[in-house]
Amino acid sequence: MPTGLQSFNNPAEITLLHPFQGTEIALSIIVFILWVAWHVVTARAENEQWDELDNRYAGESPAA
Amino acid sequence: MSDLTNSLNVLFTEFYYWVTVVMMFLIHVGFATYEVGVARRKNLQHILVKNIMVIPVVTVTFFLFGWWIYFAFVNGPFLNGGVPEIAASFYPWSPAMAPNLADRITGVFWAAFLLFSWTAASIISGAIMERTKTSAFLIMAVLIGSVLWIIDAAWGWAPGGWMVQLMGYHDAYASGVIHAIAGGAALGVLVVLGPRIGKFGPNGEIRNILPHNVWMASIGLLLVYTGFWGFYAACNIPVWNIGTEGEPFFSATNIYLMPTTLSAITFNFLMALSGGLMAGFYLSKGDPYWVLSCGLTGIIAASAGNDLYHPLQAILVGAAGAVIAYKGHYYVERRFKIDDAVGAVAVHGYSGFFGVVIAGFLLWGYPAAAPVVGSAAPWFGVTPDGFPAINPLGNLIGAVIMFGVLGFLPFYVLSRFLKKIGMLRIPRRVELAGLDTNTSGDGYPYLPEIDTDFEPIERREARGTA
Repeated sequence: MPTGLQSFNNPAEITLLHPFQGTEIALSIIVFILWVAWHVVTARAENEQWDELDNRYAGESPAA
Repeated sequence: MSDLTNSLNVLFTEFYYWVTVVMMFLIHVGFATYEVGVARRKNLQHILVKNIMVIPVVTVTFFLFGWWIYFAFVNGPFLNGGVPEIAASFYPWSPAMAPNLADRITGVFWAAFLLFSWTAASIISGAIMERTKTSAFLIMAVLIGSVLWIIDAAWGWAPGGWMVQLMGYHDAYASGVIHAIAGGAALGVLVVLGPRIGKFGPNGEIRNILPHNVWMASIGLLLVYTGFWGFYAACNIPVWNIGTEGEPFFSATNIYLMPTTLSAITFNFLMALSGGLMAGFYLSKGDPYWVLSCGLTGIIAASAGNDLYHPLQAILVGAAGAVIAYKGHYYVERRFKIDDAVGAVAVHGYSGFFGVVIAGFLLWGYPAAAPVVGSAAPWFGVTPDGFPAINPLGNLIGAVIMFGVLGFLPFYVLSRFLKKIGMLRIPRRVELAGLDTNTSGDGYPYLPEIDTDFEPIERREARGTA
């Protein structure tokens, strides 16, 4: 199944090169959601890591 | 693309920006190397990854909305007009934002600005190192890299920007639009974040936290110089008709489409660098870290006017900027107990601010940019040809906007918010143990650990406050 251009024979009439043209708005929304979700997920994971380490060190007194 | 001369111009311009982007990548390599060198052994991998993650986070947001902001906010909006229609051409789904045989410039021009965005974020990264959560920093990176710096670029760096058109603002190589804003932003975070454990003693005495590798930090700064040179080229338009249609005259121009040459900016880049290095050598008595930082400071200070300065003016401005940054760093550290781990607020913020202000005096009366149809009359004077004129007041107000309004204030507010929800600072016990205890472990597992004079002090302070 062709996903986009099938010939480069007439370059003066070609503009966009990428496959699945017409999906750009949907792709933008998907990437935007993934970007926000990435921040949320990684921030949560980072906080959990620091808290876990903090609890581990809570029982240890720093060496003199 | 069927006319050879026109095609060569377009293809040359596309290639020109592509080369500058690759050169500017060295800025980021340099900042990463530099910050890792300055960090202590227990934190270096955390610093490295924090810096690397600027790349994807700022890139994706600059694609989604940063580039659109540059075109949409040129009039404020609503300070000198509304949102221009052209902004609609730069939504992330627009044809200009895709591989397109009919548009060979947008991608490379977007990338040139994107590399400036990474730089702005990296400047903050160094100042706040060794105690900031990565997730907090990456939010800051998006805010400065894909929102605030590109707003200031729209205002003060686009030929039709309201600050250029109304105030005659001139800042050709970004003393203010990159460096002052990033320095101000770093200061806004530092005020809220606080110093590293043990940096200041109970009586306010300042303790020196040594870099783990001065040589690596120095190489990092040399790489930043190299990338900065590419940045200068990226701020130019390589071929532009500065004559008329009837009498064309082709030249390179600055970002405002006003004439300059690659020769001029090469003279001035090197002379400003030299002025900074010489001042830094004198001030720091040969400390490599400050000699190299002052070299960078020299370039930053002269950058606002390096399209037009004489090289002997550039060296003097560069040297003066280095003095202001060096003295300013230690004054603020002593007086306000601000722990800026790399001196970024001074190197970028104070010298950038100074550079913008001094350019207003030295270039007083020069045309800032061609007047835009529909723009209100310039506030602080016009040239005999009717162009908004560069002037001291316009540049002073501009410097305050960059450093204070778009830099310090938003980041102070953001940092207060992040602190309130517990997202800003690493827990003190972990800070003491080292940020690499997170997942990475020791960055030099085959070398024995040795304390400097500082580590026992740090442990003692942590015992008292943990």
